[in-house]
Amino acid sequence: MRRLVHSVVVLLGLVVAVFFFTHMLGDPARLMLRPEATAEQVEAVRDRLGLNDPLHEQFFRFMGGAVRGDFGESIWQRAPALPIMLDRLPNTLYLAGITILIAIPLAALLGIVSALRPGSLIDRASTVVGLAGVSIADFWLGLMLILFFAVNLGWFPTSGFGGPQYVILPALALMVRPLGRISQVIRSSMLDQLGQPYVTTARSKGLSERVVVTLHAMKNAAIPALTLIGDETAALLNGAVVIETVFGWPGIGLLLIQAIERRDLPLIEACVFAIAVMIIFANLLVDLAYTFFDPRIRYT
Amino acid sequence: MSASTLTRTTVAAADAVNNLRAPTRQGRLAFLWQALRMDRLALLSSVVLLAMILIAIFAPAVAPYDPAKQSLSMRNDPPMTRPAPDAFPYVMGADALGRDVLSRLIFGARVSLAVGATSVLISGLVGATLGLIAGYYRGSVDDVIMRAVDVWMGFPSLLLALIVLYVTGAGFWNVVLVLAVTRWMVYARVTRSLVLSYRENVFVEAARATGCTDREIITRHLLPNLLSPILVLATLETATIILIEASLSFLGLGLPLSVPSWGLMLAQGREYVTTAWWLVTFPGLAILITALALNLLATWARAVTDPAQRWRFARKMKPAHR
Amino acid sequence: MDRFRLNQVSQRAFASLQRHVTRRQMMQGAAAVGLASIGTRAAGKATFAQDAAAPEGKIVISLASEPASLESWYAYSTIGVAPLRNVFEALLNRDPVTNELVGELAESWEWLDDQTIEFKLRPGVTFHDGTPFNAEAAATSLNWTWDPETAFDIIQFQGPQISAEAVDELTLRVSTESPDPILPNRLYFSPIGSAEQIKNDPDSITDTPIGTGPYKFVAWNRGQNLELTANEDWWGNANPDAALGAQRIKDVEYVWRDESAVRASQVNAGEAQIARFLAPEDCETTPTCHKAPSIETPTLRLDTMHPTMGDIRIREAIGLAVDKQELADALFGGADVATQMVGPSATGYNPDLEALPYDMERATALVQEAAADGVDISLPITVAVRGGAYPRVEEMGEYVAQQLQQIGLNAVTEIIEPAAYEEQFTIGQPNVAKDRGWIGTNSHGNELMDVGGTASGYYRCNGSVSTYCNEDLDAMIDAANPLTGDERDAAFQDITATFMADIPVVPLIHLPNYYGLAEGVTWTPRLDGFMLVKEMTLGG
Repeated sequence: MRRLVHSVVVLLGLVVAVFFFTHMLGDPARLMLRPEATAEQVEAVRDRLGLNDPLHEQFFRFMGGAVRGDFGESIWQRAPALPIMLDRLPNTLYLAGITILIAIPLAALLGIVSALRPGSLIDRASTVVGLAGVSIADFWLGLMLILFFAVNLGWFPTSGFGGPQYVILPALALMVRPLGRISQVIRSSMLDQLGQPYVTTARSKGLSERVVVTLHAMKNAAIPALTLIGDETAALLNGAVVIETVFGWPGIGLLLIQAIERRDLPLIEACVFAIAVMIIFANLLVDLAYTFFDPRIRYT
Repeated sequence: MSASTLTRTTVAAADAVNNLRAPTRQGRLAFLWQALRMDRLALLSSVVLLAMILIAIFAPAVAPYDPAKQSLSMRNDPPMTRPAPDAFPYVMGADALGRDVLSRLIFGARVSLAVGATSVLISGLVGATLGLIAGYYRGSVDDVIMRAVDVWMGFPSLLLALIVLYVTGAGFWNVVLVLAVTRWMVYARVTRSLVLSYRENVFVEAARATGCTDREIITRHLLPNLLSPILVLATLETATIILIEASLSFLGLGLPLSVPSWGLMLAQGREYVTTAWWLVTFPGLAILITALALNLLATWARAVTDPAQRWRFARKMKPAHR
Repeated sequence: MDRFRLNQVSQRAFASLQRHVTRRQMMQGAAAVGLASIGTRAAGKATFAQDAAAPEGKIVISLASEPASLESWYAYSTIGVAPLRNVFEALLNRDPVTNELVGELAESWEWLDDQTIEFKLRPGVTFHDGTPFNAEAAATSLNWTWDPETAFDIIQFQGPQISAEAVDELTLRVSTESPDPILPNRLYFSPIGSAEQIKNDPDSITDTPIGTGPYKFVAWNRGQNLELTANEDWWGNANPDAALGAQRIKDVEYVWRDESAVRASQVNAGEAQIARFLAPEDCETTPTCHKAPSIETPTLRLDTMHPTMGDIRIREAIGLAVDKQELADALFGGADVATQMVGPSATGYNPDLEALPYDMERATALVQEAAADGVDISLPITVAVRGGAYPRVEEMGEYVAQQLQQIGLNAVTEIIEPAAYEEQFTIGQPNVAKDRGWIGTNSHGNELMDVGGTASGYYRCNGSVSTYCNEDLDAMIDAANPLTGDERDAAFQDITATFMADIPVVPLIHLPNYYGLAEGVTWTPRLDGFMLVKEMTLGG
């Protein structure tokens, strides 16, 4: 819980920092008009956007709104920023959800099987995936997937959002890293557990005991994996920014890039806020999972 | 960290090192070499990396063409096109301005490796120092540092880098510093946990009992033990940094145009993904090979240098060979 | 590029459109359909036979970016015009063949004096919400659009303040604060939305467009698509000749993809029927590729206050070092080399000017000559590129920098983030730092079809985008501004010649637009960049 409270405080601080960062340069009004627009026309638009108010006034207006979940009106889309962001949120959750829902069980399976059968085909396959996960640039993988499966073979749409066929390639590109990393951690912590005396003893006692103990080892091995899953969720959102850009996937990541390009401060803030909340939420889930896997950990 | 990937040969190598006692520095190097020879993948990785570093250093001598030499008439020419009937071909094709992709890749190696090495050096120094302080002095200092690490860890580093770079603009040092700022936590965590485990160790206790100062304990007893795990971590991190730098350049926030970095080549080639596949394929492969080699080498090095793993895998050998 | 293109193109430019389309289509082997359509259109004013068949089928159009808003006024913008101009109509439109202003929601108009036009409106028109279109509604909508309080981005196309008032049910007067000879041109891209919505439901304006057009709004799934469907009550169904088009297609879906290659492959994979703004090499992959001229002119704008570029020999050398024809052919799929900042369609275009030839030897000699006279040629020069400003601008910037290095100048390319670029680009001549050394790579869009606008922005000492100062020229511009007709044309031709002789800018090419069409789809791109579904057929 302490960890949670701290994350909330610091991430709010981050939203504030983004406000000041993005206010330091550039003039959104200039971006919206032709270069030849007269100074008066630029001033009129700046006035409309509230960019002529003193910085501290803009800041208090922003903070007052942010607390109520109101980030102000998107400069680019001329509508409140929060609903625009909320519109895109399910798409990111969908992509990230599919990725995680496939990656975690698959990683667990790969990790456990390769720990139980070191040197087997599955072990070697999971080694390759593990290495790919930390060595391949996900956006490049995305481009290669588009080139091969969408452009050459025509099996999937090149990009965009729609039916289930749209999510496959981006999820694949996004999945490699968490899949590789989590399976490797599960493998090594499983090996760790299997080396413990209680397992060795059980091994000598016979099959049924062995199954029970292996399950027990799995449960213990899950704890280091959980820590990683928390961090990987943050990394997944990193990946989502790039992968959504590559695949034209209308989620928070793409929206953030578009907002940054248009210097749309309210929208940038709303996106950063959403990502922060998602990370906090993921950490909360991980914390809850800890208490499940390890009864000694209790949050009061 | 992940990538605790161990091939059987690595295990054998680890075992070999484990069984050999190496009292002198020279002796240790000899054993390392022996261990390297026993793991073909690690050997190959070191050869690839060494080649990469040499190519980067001697880029002007190695590259067949000037990487900046444009020729609009050769725009997007496919691999093996010759600029003149008898000239050396553009082995990997020409880019959108008719520049030799191979030569740009060779000069790009300089950039990627330089960014990787510099950022890792800075983040490693900062992170390890903070981790050392946190682990050695404990108490509220430790609390503050580690809380910062936890929070920092939780925030997507690419996003942070993105926003900072939008404000500061692109440039070698901006990129290096941003990457260092977003990666130092890893070192802090690892160093701290190592220090914690050594701190209560007999030799540290003994040193303290004999009246050694903190400085002496840290420099004489802790640092030598920290060095190799941190080096392993730094190798892994170099791969990560190269990937992040590529992502940043890909999003248009990396290095300036005049520097041919691999990420930038990918970003520029992306527009032609359907019409000129070589523009995105080769830089991506270069990144993949470099990162792969770094990861394989780190895995090997960890198995060889980490006593815990050495012990574990030496034991694991037996069931594996049943 | 995120700007409206108002293409009042002369016969000459139009002839070049026909040439491009014809050549393109012969290359594609799809000559039959395209040539037939050009044949009928080239014969004269467009005619549209009564189309009794009910609209059927669906067309998917892939755009380069998502509209930011669906407000009626936003239909002025390059991005917004593609979908929104099908939902909204304006008092005036342009005939797709002759490019002349013709009535759309207005049946006729006349100047009452030099500040007021009286429009007779089309009877029997209703908005999609069922409310009638009349002078009162038109006045409400126009006054809302040009309201100085709301300061919508469209104000940049306003000259003197515009205001509208209803005289009777179908008579509307639009007037300006001071004389404005091109008021009809401005009203042509000022679409009219439901007055009822403006008065009683303003919150819905941004996401629920209500106009009078042939297609009405169905849904906007942000980030995903925008759907329209045929409006069965459209006035044009009963009056196809005046409507200059017909509802042959029932449903329209707009999608958007950043990459040209992706948009092209959507057409090739059957995911879309028309892809807008393709790169030339991507356009070639589509079944039918249309190339259309635009009024954008990419230009190198030189910082004349810079110690190196302050010397006219250096500026001339820069002009000589760029192979404009090669650039046009390699990067832009073939284009006309520009001799000045505007195309031949603009009042004040000077047909006698010639582009500087490509001559590296002479360029190098000029640089050395200047250096020998004490000009410091080692000072850094930045070829400043606004990322994504127009297709291939990054590559063009790199090309220019390399050419300048070869003639001995210390040039580098820098891609600058849009907001930072615009801030520097529009800083104004007196405020430019002497050592900035920028070569700006903007594209000048000549929306108002008159060198007067170009001159006040680029030629004058206090122009918002000027990096040049010549007080004599300022005086000439002041004298030319109130002129009209041939006098105005002659005066601005003179001004353009004087300006270009000093080489404060190196105009490059006239930028073409590329559209990829799927098999069976027929549509001829308009000179103004509008994408009116009533001018399209699905075929098959």
